[in-house]
Amino acid sequence: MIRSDTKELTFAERIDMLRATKMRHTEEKWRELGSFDMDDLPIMLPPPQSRKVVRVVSGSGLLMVDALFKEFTPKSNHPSGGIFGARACGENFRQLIGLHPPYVDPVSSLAGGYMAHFMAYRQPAWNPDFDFSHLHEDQQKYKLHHGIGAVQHFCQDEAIGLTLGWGGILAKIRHYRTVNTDAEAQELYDGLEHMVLGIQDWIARHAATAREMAKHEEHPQLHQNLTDIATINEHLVHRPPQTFREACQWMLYYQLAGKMYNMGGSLGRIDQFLFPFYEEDKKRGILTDEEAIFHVACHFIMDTSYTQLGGPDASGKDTTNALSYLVLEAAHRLKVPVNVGVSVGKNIDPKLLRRGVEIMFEDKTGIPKFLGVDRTSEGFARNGLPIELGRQRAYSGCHWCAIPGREYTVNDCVKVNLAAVFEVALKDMMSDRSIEPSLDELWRCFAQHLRRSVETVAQSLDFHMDHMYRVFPELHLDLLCYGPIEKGRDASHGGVEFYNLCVDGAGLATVTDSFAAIEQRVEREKKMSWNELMRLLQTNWSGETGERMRLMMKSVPRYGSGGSKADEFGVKIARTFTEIVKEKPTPHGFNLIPGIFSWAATIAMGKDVNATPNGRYSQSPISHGPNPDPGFRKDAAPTALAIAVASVQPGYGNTAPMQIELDPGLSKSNEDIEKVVALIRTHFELGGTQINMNILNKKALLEAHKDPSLHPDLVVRVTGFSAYFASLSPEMRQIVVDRIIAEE
Amino acid sequence: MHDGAHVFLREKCELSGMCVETCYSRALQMEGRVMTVEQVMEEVLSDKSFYESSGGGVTLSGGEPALSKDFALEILEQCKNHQLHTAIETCGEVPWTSLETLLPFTDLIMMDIKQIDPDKHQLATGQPNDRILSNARQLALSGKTIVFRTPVVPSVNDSEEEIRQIAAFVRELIELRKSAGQNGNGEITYELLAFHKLAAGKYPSLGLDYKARDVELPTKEQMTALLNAARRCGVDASMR
Repeated sequence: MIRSDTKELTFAERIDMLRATKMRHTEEKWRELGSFDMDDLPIMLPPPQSRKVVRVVSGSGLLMVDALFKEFTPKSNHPSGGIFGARACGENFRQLIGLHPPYVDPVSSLAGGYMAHFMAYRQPAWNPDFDFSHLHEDQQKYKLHHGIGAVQHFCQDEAIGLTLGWGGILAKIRHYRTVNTDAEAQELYDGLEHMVLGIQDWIARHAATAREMAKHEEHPQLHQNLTDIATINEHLVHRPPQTFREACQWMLYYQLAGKMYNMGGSLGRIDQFLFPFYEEDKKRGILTDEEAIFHVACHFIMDTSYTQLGGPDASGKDTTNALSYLVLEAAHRLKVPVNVGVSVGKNIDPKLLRRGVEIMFEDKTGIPKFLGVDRTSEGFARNGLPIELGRQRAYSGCHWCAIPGREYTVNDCVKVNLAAVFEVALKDMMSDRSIEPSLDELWRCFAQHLRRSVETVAQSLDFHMDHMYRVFPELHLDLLCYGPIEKGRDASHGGVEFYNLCVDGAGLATVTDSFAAIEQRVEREKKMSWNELMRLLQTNWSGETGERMRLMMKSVPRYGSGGSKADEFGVKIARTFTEIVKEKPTPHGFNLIPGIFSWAATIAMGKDVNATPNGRYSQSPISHGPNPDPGFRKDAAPTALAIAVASVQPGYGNTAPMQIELDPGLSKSNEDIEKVVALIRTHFELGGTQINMNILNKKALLEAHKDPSLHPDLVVRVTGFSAYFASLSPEMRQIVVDRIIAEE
Repeated sequence: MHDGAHVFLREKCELSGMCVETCYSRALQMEGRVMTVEQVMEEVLSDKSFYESSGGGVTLSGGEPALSKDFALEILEQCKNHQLHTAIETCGEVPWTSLETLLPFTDLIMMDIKQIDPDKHQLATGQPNDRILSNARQLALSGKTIVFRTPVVPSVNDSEEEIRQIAAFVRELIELRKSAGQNGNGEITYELLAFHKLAAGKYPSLGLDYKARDVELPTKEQMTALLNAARRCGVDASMR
């Protein structure tokens, strides 16, 4: 179609074509791999003749279906069949990327696309020589997402790569190889070199492919585009980028390699590290804003990594610039799942927030999200670290921030399932014949088990930190961090400057509402005995009166209703969790930072928990992040939600994001936009840290829930990430639909 | 219960709410609840930060707040003590003294004027409009910010002439305020509200027949024409 005439394509037409191509790739994935309750990974499938479909564990620890290249057989270095350590991981990754076909779309200004997850070939993922069976009992008991084997989830500093280029990075590795001669460093350098050489070869093959395609391209504009891509890529094999377009191209390869290596998704502050290129090109008159938007859009269509716009510099001065708006505009024009966060703070340009809300209204794709940068900076300082560092933390994952290139975090990888801890506590209390069951006793048991579960997490994280570099080192992120190359140490093993390990609580509302239901129905009204409650929970509310009793427990005033017992429990549980996490560092001395977030794991974590006293059925999802459960209040007042979520913030720099669904009937009027702006600002002023928002087309959503094929391009913010609604499992779609209906 | 279905005998209901308390599925719910001023204020103040950031405030709406003037007065007074912006929505068909009492603690008054023609008003609402128009004049003289509003109901008051008459009356009130030397205080504006059927679901709950079932909603074009008619009278008019 493109080649049938020679008409000049506009940027808008090219974006439409890129979007259609992405949709085609996505629909192919749905057919081959089924649903996936996670970020919209922009992976494409290997060619059919090379494709093999398998089940694997994702970078965030969830089971997923993936496609492999049949041709690639990894070379194990262990009797278990696994691939462990820097050298083996680097070597195998280089082999994989070596057979990965180049991807060049003549419509895009950037080359590159990825078709393989290296992690899918690394089986087993953990080296069985590093035995942590001594931790199994408690890890299992509390159903912990304990963090051993967690990958990526911290943030590189892209500026390092944009300054050095691949040639410069390789030279740096080779220089420090002569400085740090110990075995650990040498092995790391081997791995890093393999990775860089593999990427350089991949880029060179893209250059050759684009050159070849250009020969056959008759459309003059696309011919020129392919020729430019070839030239740019020939340069980028070695030298650093020199223009804005080259910088976008460099960044795309780096990001795609990260997705391929360990499903990395952090981008950081794109409007900062690309700004010098933008400014220089504008000064030289070789870049228009429309071109800049297009290049960023070409990046986003292939890479949905998390990025922050605006926000303070170390001194607190706002860094919002012209590029912040252009990046937002690129997301707006694309209307595909991207993960752009807009900074909101006292000194931050208010126009950026306003523009973000306008786009939210206009696109109804849940994009952008909103970042309470003042609260997260101040909170970070409460760890005894300078607030200047807190301000430099960049939003770079579902709900998290990290100091680019300087901080290792395992963000979003460690979850204490509060509902599972509650279940253990309740059973423990009831099985102890020496104590009379009571709410006070239950609280005592809960706090005791919560402490034990956090201690288990702390020990698990120490174990992870001891061994991860010999299992699956962070070769990709190491390249753009300050320290790993200089010291010859992986980021997970002392390579970077700061170690602030994340510990999130999950299922808050499930537990608060359970405490409140027991307080009212069992203790105060005595409508049910403790034994009767246990029988109902064990039988999943069966029996003649089971459903009635379930509804009775469910109908007490819930967390979020305002001024209720459940609200008191919400604050008490969040505070207790925070205090326990902050009580002490891990036994090896690593700082822990509490957050409240469950990501998309509400379903998986719910499957680990039997019926709970809040009227929840056995194995159904636990509550979402710090949010009240849908239907928490008859009027579903957004202000009540904002107050509730603000009241349970741990306050140490990591977030407890508010997920909010606003009335799709809101008009795009100035008044409605201002109301939403005020809601966002006030939530942050009250202590809120992050907002994931949807203003959705309810009709389309309900239609798509019944038949996803009716609206394949419908994008929703599921939790910290945004995704095509049709990509989600029926169970996750139901959760999103329940939230929307409850907000009516 | 009858044949497994819940039967509601309205004539025997004593509003005890006991049926609601035991209806855990929330199929039965009590609408409205008895609250003290303190309870209302507790709820109001929980959202104070949002009023401050959005420029919002507290509106006492209907029913008719002036019918519970003592309760309304206490709430408005306490809101003002907390520096909150206050508003009332009134149909105007109340003794002037009731409205007058509330004025010192009210920043904004939203008042309906549904018809100028007394017969048509009587027919549509079951009430005369002389007291309403008289109260409107008194309010104009109060110097408060006022939004006069007309719910545009097809076949009741949706002709350009009817709207023109109301807008002309509003214009008169503006002039009245000016001539009385009250200029420079609150503004007087006019707003057209398109009829909607959001209340349709409430009628069966109250055992009432919803007579507007077949009434067609005014179109945007009709509303725009009415808005233009109002503006031609020299008033600051808007619609929603």
